[in-house]
Order: sequence, then C-alpha cells, then structure tokens
Amino acid sequence: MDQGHAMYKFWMLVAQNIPMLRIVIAAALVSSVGAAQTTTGTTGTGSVQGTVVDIGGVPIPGARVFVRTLRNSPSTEADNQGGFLLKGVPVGEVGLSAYKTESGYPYNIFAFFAVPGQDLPEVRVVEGQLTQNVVIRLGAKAAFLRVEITDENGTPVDAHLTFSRPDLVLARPDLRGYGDYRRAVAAKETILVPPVPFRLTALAEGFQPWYFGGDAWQTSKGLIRLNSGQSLIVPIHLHRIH
Amino acid sequence: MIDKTYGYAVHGCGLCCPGEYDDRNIVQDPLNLSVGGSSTNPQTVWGIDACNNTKKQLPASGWNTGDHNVATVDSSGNVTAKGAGSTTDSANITNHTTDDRGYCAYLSAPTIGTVNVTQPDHLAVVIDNEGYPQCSQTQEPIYLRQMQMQAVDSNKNPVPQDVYIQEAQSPPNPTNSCPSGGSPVPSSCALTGNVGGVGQFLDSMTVNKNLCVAKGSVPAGCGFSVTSTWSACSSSGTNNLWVSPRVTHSDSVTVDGKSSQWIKGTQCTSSGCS
Repeated sequence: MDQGHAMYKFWMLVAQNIPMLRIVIAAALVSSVGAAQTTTGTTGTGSVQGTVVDIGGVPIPGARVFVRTLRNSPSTEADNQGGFLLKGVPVGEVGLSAYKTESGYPYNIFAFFAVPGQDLPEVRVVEGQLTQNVVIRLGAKAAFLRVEITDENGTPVDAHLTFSRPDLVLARPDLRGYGDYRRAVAAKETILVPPVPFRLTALAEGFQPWYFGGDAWQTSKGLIRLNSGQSLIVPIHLHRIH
Repeated sequence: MIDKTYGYAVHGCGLCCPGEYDDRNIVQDPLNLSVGGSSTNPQTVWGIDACNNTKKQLPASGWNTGDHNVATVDSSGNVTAKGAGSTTDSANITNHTTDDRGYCAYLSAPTIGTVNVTQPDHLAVVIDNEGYPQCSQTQEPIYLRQMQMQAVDSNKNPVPQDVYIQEAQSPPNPTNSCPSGGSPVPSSCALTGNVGGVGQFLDSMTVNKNLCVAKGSVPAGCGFSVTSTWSACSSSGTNNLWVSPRVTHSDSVTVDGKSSQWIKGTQCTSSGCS
C-alpha cells in the first residue's frame, strides 16, 4: 500500500499539467488498487475430471477430492468407480488430493501425512474448461496410533501432540519444522498416522513435556515405526511441574 | 370366534376387518430438522395389516403440523423447518375397524408424529491442527492452521442437518504484511457438510490463499490480525455463532488468544472459545 501511495504521488506530479494523462493515470491507479485488494479473490474457475486410485491402481469409491494447494478448496466425492468431477476450481496451477478416513486414507493436506507410493498431481486449470483424465494415487494406507494420556494419579488429561518427521526438511531455518504436525487430542484418542518413522511429543498445561523414547527421544529409540494398518497404543503419563 | 362383518363385508367371519391396520405410525418420528431445512423424503404413514400381519404404506391425506411457526408440511408430506422448537406432524388415514357394535366400519384415523427443529447456536471444535501443507519440490509451503468445527444447538448437541453459515471480518480488509498475500477473503454463505459429518466445516487460516508459493517469497513472522465472525445465513437464520479474534502469521496462528490448538469439544461462542 505504501508503494502504491508513493507511485500515485509521483505520477500525479508528472501529470499535474497534463489533464488527459491525469485522468488516464488516475483510472489506472484505481484499477491497480482494486486488483491488489482482490489478490485473494477468484477471477475464474474451471473443472477437473479424473479418478482416485490406491497404491495398486484400484479405484477408491467415495474418496473426497479437494484442492490441497488452496486455503479454501472446493471438494467433491468420488463415485462408485473412483471417478470424480471437481467444479469451481480456481484457474492456474493447483495440486489435488483425496482422502477416505474410514478406509485408511487420512485427510492429508499437511506434509506430515505424505506417504510412500502416493502421487498427488498438479494440474493447470483453465477458465471454463475441463481438465481431464487426472489420476490421484493415494499411497500406503495409514497406521493407527492410540494415545491414552493420564497424570500421575491416572486421571485422563487432554494434551497437545506434536508429530515430527525427520525425513521432511524445509530449507528455511527461520520457519518452524516442516515435517511437524500439531494437534490437540482428548485423553483417549485414535489418530491415523503415516506408515513412516516419526517422533511424538505431548504437551499439557501445568505438566512437563513428554517425549516418546524418554531421554533417548532424539535417537532411533524415539522413532515410532508402524506399517500400514498396524495399531499401536501409546500410554502417556504426564508429570506435573512443581 | 366373532363374525365382525355381519353380512355386508365379503370376507365372512374373522378376527379382523379387511383394511384394518394396527400400529399405524409416521415413518420419520421424530423428524429432526435444522431451521431452513426440509425432510429428505416425504413423510409416510405405515401400518400392520391386522389380517395378515404384514407392514404396508397407507394412503394418507390432510397433512398438517401443530405449529406453523416451527414447521409446515405440504400435501405430499414434505416437511419444512421454519423456526426452533418442537411440534407435531399429522395425517389422516382411512381405517376399516370394528365400531361400538362390533361392525366393521371405515373411520378416519389421525396419525401423529413429532418434528424437532434446531437452530444453530454456536460452534464446537472437532479437530484443531496445524502444520505445513504438502507442496512440490519447487515450491515452499505456507503455514496452515485448520479447525474443523461443528454447528451445535444451545444444548451443545450437533445440528441434525447441514446449515448455511458465513464468515465476516473486522476490519473488512486487514493489512497483510506478507508480500503478495493480499487481504484475506472471508468465506461466503455456504452449506456445511463438505468435510466430516453433518453440520461440520473447515476454518482455514493462513497468510496467503495459495498454500504453496515461490521459495523464499514469504518472510517469517509476517501476517495480519483480524476478528472473524461466523454466523448463520440464508434460510438458517442470522445469529452469530462464533466471534473469533485471530493473529495469523506466516509461522504461527493464534485463535482466541491461544497459539496452541483447542481441544476437541471446546465450545466457541460469541464470547470466544472456552
């Protein structure tokens, strides 16, 4: 906005003795400000048609398809053959994904949920046109992590979990961990997690932080490794800060 | 054995009258709706044939509701929710049954059900989570906090049907200090239910509508502050559901004064989350 204001003053000085130019420049600047204010708006949409398949290429009926690269995404449900038609997709390059929690494919917008074998396509959407034959391949199915969080007396405690994947690194040391995923959970809750090694930390107000693996949490002993479909119950005993 | 027909019916003596139905009921009873919603299927009346013990749909007429401010019903049995509360829906069927003298007689018999209409009152947290989204190797992700919210009634019960909700912002166009971020655009009036269960939706908070941007284009700590107000809209009403001050930065998002996530079941109202 400051740059725009400076530009406005500069061009007004240039144009102050040229009435026609003043009108043209003023109109252009108004248009420019309007465009800046609507950078997050939608200028046009198109549609995407395709199929959701599993790691072996078998269609996944009923998977919910969404645009994973936009804050507010249209979504639709795949049909009985895994086919989908997603309408109202903003124009430009967009990344697609899909999930079906009840079948072991969790909502995967966050990087933490990236799994081996997945192929989440990026497509170019053109206004008013249909982009066809897009295949969304969901990779390995999730594992099941059940946390049971209590205090020293066995009383259930709600907590905040941080899941960290050491294999995901963002080359921006000024930003928080790329592979980290944070989520509040009830004292007993089951979460779908990717079948890849990750670390787990629990935080609750008034309690000391808890790390899977204890003092060795930064070593390989602090890594949780689960296969697709495998379940693990993790008892988390929190200790109050005195 | 009693001869109920007394000569004018064709079936002779028996334990039932032809066309006599027991246990008559409206199929969707109670019918639970949200304000502005309608029954998915028209109401129907079913009963058990007293002669052969089979269940049958009965011809029904005269559909009506007890309180038109709560719900109305058309002649085909389609119910529309008008306002919060509880009322009856009813229809008449013609039942061939035994009269006081033991004759089989046709009687108009009312069948009554209950319609409960719920108004969204506030929101409850289903999942509150945050992190970086998946992007291609050539791009950089924008930090994202997503809250999956549930519209609930004043008793904290989930609304029985999807409702229309919208978001408003104060200030309307907050200044975003992130380059190319632009002002956030509030969610327009739309029906819940496109994520999770009935009455649920996603509230996504980031400094840019695009979750994957050019590498190095967004500095740490830039962003904006805004108060989001979620309210009912369209046929679902106008009442505020959640007033939520946020501080949205490129590396953290604070919601209602909390930079960590709200626990599942947290109630969020016009006074914020607690």
